[in-house]
Amino acid sequence: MKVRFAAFARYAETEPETGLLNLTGAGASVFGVESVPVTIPTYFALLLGFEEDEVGQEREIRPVLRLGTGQLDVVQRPEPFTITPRLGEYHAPGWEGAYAITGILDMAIQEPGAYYLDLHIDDAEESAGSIPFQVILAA
Amino acid sequence: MTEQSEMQVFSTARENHVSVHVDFVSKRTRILNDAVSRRDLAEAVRRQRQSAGIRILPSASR
Repeated sequence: MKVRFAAFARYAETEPETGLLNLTGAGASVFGVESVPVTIPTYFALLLGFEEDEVGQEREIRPVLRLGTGQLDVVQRPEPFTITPRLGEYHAPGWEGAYAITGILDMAIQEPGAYYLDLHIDDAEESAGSIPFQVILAA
Repeated sequence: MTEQSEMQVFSTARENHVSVHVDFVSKRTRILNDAVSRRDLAEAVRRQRQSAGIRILPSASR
């Protein structure tokens, strides 16, 4: 399973009838805040790709917020969540399937700087994808 | 413009999608089901940003 697309957005949702993503302001990467510490809410969208032999297997998605310093210290690890990919009526044999994850993140930011939202799948040490972003003081 | 037949557009993610709320503060994650009003949720996010003085600024790579 791999991350095909990952981004923050002003708004993100998946259409239940079609599986299409509706995004507004996707690619948001700079948050201006009046002061810190602050909790930043943001919509996000992920599109994962999976192979046929991954169907029916429960996978754990672990978002990790990391401060982008030279040491790349881990900042926060919330509860992971699980997904189980399936094949739908439009799946073509031999083709990769798609799984869409949208929603809201509430991130506790202690200081301005460069951050990464890393996305880990199961217990993999390396992230499957990252969303880099900045938090700056902007009155 | 030439005449076009009606077209329907789908994604192979039609049966594969989930909406979640990941709270890094409380470290809790919850699945958002269809009963949660999308409009109410969007309004709550907008108000939260506004009350905290948070703005999404132009892309850093523009």
